[in-house]
Amino acid sequence: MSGRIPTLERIDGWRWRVPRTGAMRTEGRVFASEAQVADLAGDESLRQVANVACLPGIVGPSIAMPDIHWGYGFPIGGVAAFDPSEGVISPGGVGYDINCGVRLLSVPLGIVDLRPRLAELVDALFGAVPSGVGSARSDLRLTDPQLDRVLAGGAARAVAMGFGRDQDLEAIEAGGRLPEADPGRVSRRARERGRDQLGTLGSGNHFVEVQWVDDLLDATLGEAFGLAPGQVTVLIHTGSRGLGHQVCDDHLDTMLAAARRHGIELPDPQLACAPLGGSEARAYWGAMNAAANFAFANRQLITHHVRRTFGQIYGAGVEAGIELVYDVAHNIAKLEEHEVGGRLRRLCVHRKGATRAFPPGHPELAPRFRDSGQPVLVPGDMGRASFVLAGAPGAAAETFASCCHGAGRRLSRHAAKRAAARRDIRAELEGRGILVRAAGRATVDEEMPEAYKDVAEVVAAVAGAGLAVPVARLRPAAVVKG
Amino acid sequence: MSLARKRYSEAESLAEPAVSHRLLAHTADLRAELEAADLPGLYVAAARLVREALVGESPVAAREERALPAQEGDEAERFFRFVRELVYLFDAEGFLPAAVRLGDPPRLAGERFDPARHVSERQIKAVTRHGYLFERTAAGGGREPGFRVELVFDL
Repeated sequence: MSGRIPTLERIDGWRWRVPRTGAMRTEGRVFASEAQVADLAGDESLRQVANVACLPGIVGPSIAMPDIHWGYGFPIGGVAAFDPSEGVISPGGVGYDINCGVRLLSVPLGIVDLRPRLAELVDALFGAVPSGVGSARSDLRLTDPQLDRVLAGGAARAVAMGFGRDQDLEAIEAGGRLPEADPGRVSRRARERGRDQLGTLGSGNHFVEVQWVDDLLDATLGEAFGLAPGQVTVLIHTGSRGLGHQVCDDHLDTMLAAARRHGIELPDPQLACAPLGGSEARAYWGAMNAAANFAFANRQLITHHVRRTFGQIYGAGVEAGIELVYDVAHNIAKLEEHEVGGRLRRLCVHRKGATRAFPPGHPELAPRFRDSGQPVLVPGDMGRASFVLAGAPGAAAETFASCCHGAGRRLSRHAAKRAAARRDIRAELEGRGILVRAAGRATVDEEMPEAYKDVAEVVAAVAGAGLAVPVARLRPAAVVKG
Repeated sequence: MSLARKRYSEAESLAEPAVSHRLLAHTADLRAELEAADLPGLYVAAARLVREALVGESPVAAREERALPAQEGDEAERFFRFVRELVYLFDAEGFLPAAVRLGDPPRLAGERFDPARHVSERQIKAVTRHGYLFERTAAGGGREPGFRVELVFDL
């Protein structure tokens, strides 16, 4: 944590500049409303935007989304692109939970049909998807060869193992498999952490949420994504579990040494990085892509168990009709082509708590999303709403095709727990028709709705800035928490 | 007789809150300050912090022992790696600490997580290098010399 907290300069109603000062190689750019900026006053996250701007080879501004909050190294909600020949890759720009992401399922049921057996459903989901401290699967412990195939094959390997359908893969970022994964770069310790965690949720802000579409904001795009008013959906939020956390830990140490050797001054040690063409970057790249594939496979297995659980309660027809709307990573670094200064350039885009948002016509999108743009999934909190958006041309022009990833925290976990101490958050939510099942009380208290900003305001900011188009608002009916 | 009672002293045990930690503000993660009069006390305080984050005040018995990997670097780096090892041992083995003994290598006594006996509080993904502070504090203002550490955990 170095340097003073920067002051923002207003560009327009949705854009703010962090002026270039000191060791910054470029300026910062924050997308937010005036009220959201007021909430950021004195916040460490703005210093983190400036810190990222100090890294070598950064192209364009250091970007922050309206759900920005204090992270470690990069701010949560941060985006930065680096030139492959002069730039760096930083595990701190990806985070410990590599390919933490969100997956949305559409269910062929209306909310009215769901309600009568909702309590039975959420109890069964809580049993089917291990969650909480120490969550592991007793029915699946991968051997090294099996783990290698998951690390190389991602969601496609999970489908080949019987956990899903071929058509699921079309609705996953990168088809659910990053081809540059190198399982040989994943350490023994990372393997030990992940071996029995495939198909588990974890803890913290991870969840499986049963919801319904309470407002279809764009009927044409909603239809393209398979969403209809009143329809039940399921949102899954988790990542690469202990395997990914260990990959980050392993490579941070080598990156710290690499940064020293290459004379890279780090404003924060968690921004440890290495030149993109070097051996340390190659090692991390192979391991990070492998961990990302593990995360895609993790969400695929959870999808399988969600489908089966719905089938047990609502029948085989419902199970068969559950479709994958989209699956998107929000902690990742990827090589992508973007137009900068009128020239198409290949860049390494870091998204730390930010969602890829390709606009209509983007060649990397599956054919079914070419006209609509990529679905962008924005979870809120468990009391209010989540949103589905579609990538818009503004994102391609200004944010390396990136958008917000959630509501963003407003209260620290400690403050939230204090605020919840004399309340029963679970009972309060049940009183509002939202059933909650959790491994313990702590995460429910720490994840209370008031701990988060209002996701509707975050979505209004990205829509106002032209980064994405709102498609649907989803209301929670039941939540499984870690 | 448990391992802790047999081989670990009271000061090495996490049972008595003789050393403390304090939670500091951080929007998303867990940020804490540890203070102790000596290094063994600091290591015990770290183990208490990690254990409380995972399972709250649930009792943890010293049923098994773990020898930690050889420690590298200066005392700040060795301490950081010790905390990192606590996180790893829980995630890979479900191991919860009950007592700490400094040495070469350091050793932990504890037991595996049992959902029937241990409360599920929150998972720790990692201890980060962001905001990591390790300092020896001088005597003054009625305070004894000792150690002060700040840590940020990703949850």
